[in-house]
Amino acid sequence: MIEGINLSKTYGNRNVLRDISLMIPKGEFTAVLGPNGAGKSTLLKILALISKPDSGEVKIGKQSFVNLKGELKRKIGILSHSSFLYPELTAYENLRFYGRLYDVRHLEEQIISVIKKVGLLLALNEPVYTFSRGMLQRLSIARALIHSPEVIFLDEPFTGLDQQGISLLQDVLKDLKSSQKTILMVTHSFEQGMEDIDRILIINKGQIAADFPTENLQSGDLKRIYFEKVAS
Amino acid sequence: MGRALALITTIIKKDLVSELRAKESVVTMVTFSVLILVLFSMAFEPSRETVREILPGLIWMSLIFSGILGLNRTYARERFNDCLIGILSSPIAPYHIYIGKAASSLVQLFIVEIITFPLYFVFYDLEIDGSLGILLLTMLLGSVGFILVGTFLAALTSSLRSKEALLPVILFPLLVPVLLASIEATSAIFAGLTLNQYLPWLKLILVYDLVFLVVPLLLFDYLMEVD
Ligand SMILES: Nc1ncnc2c1ncn2[C@@H]1O[C@H](COP(=O)(O)OP(=O)(O)O)[C@@H](O)[C@H]1O
Ligand SMILES: [Mg+2]
Repeated sequence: MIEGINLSKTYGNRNVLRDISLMIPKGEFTAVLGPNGAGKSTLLKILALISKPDSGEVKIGKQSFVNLKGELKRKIGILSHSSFLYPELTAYENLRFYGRLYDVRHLEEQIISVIKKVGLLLALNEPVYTFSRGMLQRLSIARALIHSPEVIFLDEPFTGLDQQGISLLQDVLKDLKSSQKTILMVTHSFEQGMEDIDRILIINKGQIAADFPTENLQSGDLKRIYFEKVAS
Repeated sequence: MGRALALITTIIKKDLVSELRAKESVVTMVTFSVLILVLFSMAFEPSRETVREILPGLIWMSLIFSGILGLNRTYARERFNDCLIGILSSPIAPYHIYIGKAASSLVQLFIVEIITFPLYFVFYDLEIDGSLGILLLTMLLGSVGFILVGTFLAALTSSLRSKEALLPVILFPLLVPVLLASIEATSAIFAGLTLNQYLPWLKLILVYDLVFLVVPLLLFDYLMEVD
């Protein structure tokens, strides 16, 4: 479970998040939609305990960040716009590095397992600077999952992936959902990976403009609601 | 404790392997130090007496300038692809990142020292009257102090604009105590003074090292906050 309570954030004199509260139960897959600059990435970074809100509080599984910094981070995996990967190191070395930061048990097997999941086994010992944009994105997915996190945050994860990569990521997401992981995904697309999503959160101008389940949502409804909410 | 050590080692190894592949920092640092050393010896054709007087300052200044090149590099590498955010989103304590990065920078500085130090004997006809062992200890302690404060401040400046130019500007005033003490102790050892005569300088370096081992323990969390 993730809970954000009265989260606000300003950059300079810009109110990027205005008093956002939300609660995402364990095992739920939530998609966050919203126009550019709405504050989606900022919200994600705050919920993932990467950056601090100016006011408000984040709780993960009833534990507050204030009390339990390091241990909470162990439960979180994040896929951001940046890859967090070291170009001089190989795919294997990058995953081993992050795996060690999280004290992953049986790291060797875990590395092989996640690298297979993203279809990069053949590139395992290639240095990352030789990777294409799509390969980088796949390796970033592997990196985000190396420590089998309970909660996964994804910021526009489909960007840069080819058709094959897209269906691979959809499979990964399906997998995560079926193993009861909590997922929060910022996305621009109304189609990719939508069938597994339980709930939609629309963010506009730093506030929650809409929050509804995908149950009973007819095709076309989402687009209509989105433009209604974002235009107003 | 064991876990902390394992995390620190993980950071050090990662840094050194990256450096070994890219060979940017150490090569630049060594080139720079050797260049200074050779150019000075040609510019001054120093006699043995003047050498004794200027050499300690020259050795330390060239170490510090080349060290700054390395310090800027080590954080530039973390900023690329936002790797530092990746590290900070893991459970590692920021202080362990600090110690790890300081240690890997120190190893690189030692490599520079091991390569350049013998060259001073060649180019300057250097003779040491004091104990070589204590000289090496002084080099060690002084380098530790410099790298600790440098790693601390590089973390601060690396998030600012015009970071590379800013580091030396902020670093030098803070370096004065350890730099002065290291130069004084080195001079004394070159001249063969007794340990008692320069022990206060060594103690000053040691205190400085301890301060910059402890202060970041309190402050590094704030320095590493992500916006
Ligand atoms: N580190 C930062 N410093 C200053 N402004 C920022 C920073 N991060 C985001 N912003 C600003 O906050 C607003 C929201 O950004 P972001 O959360 O990335 O939006 P989104 O992901 O919804 O497109 C933007 O106007 C952006 O310029
Ligand atoms: Mg964004």
